[in-house]
Amino acid sequence: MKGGKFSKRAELMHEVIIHIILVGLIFAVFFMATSEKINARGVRQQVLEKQTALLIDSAVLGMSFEIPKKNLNGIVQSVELKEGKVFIGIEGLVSFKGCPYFSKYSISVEESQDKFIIRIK
Amino acid sequence: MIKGAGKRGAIGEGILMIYRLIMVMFIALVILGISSVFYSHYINVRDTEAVIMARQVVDCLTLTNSDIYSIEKNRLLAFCGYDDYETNRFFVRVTFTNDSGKQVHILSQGDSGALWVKELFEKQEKKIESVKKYVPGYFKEDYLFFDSINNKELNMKVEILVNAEF
Repeated sequence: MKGGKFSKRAELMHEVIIHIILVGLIFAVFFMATSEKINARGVRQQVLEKQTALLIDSAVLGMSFEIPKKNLNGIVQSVELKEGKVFIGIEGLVSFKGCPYFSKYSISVEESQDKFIIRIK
Repeated sequence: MIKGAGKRGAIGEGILMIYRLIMVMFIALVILGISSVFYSHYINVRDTEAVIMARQVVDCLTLTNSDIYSIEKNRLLAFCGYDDYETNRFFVRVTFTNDSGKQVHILSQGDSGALWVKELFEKQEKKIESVKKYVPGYFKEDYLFFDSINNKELNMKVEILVNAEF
């Protein structure tokens, strides 16, 4: 009888612990998603990508401009130009969509120690 | 007592718990998905792109003193040096008229049907927030153009429409 009671209690405890762990995990996922929205890395990335794309759109031959790695929109980790789109990685957030630009010139990106340089050739 | 009934019961309870967990996870994912749609912020720069494109087209036609009659009628942006993949969101139309307002020449590129979509958006009085981000960018302006072939001044109406990038 005693053994039965104990095993039932243990079973219940086991179930409760698993539930707590799982609820904790779900809460962590929620928390991460919410913090992602609050620090607005995505919006800052969008701002920088669109600013850069508009600069490229309106640039004339021979122009070059710099994007400091320590930017107002966060730490810039990468600047890439692929298939007519600008992709900028900010604080570990990789850009998947990018922002389209148009230019009749050849555009290139160079990375130096503290900045990215975009050249219009 | 039935032998093995306890074990079977435990297995059954375990399966039920997995089912409950899957349900909770599913609901959590749905809530996360909906919240990400509602809280995402979209910045629309299509009107600015239209203004920039208009300036580029005007520069292309005037600064190079182009013979507008030799340009392929529906390949204006290609003439100005743009690749097709860069300009597939654009509809560009340049209409040349004389002093009396008669159309002398027209140059364009892109899908003119996009103008119809723009009108449809304009007719919509109360714009729904989720639809708003698809409204195309638009710019229209009149400029003066000197036709060096016929040695006369023409009016040049530049119209640019920029579609959504997604």
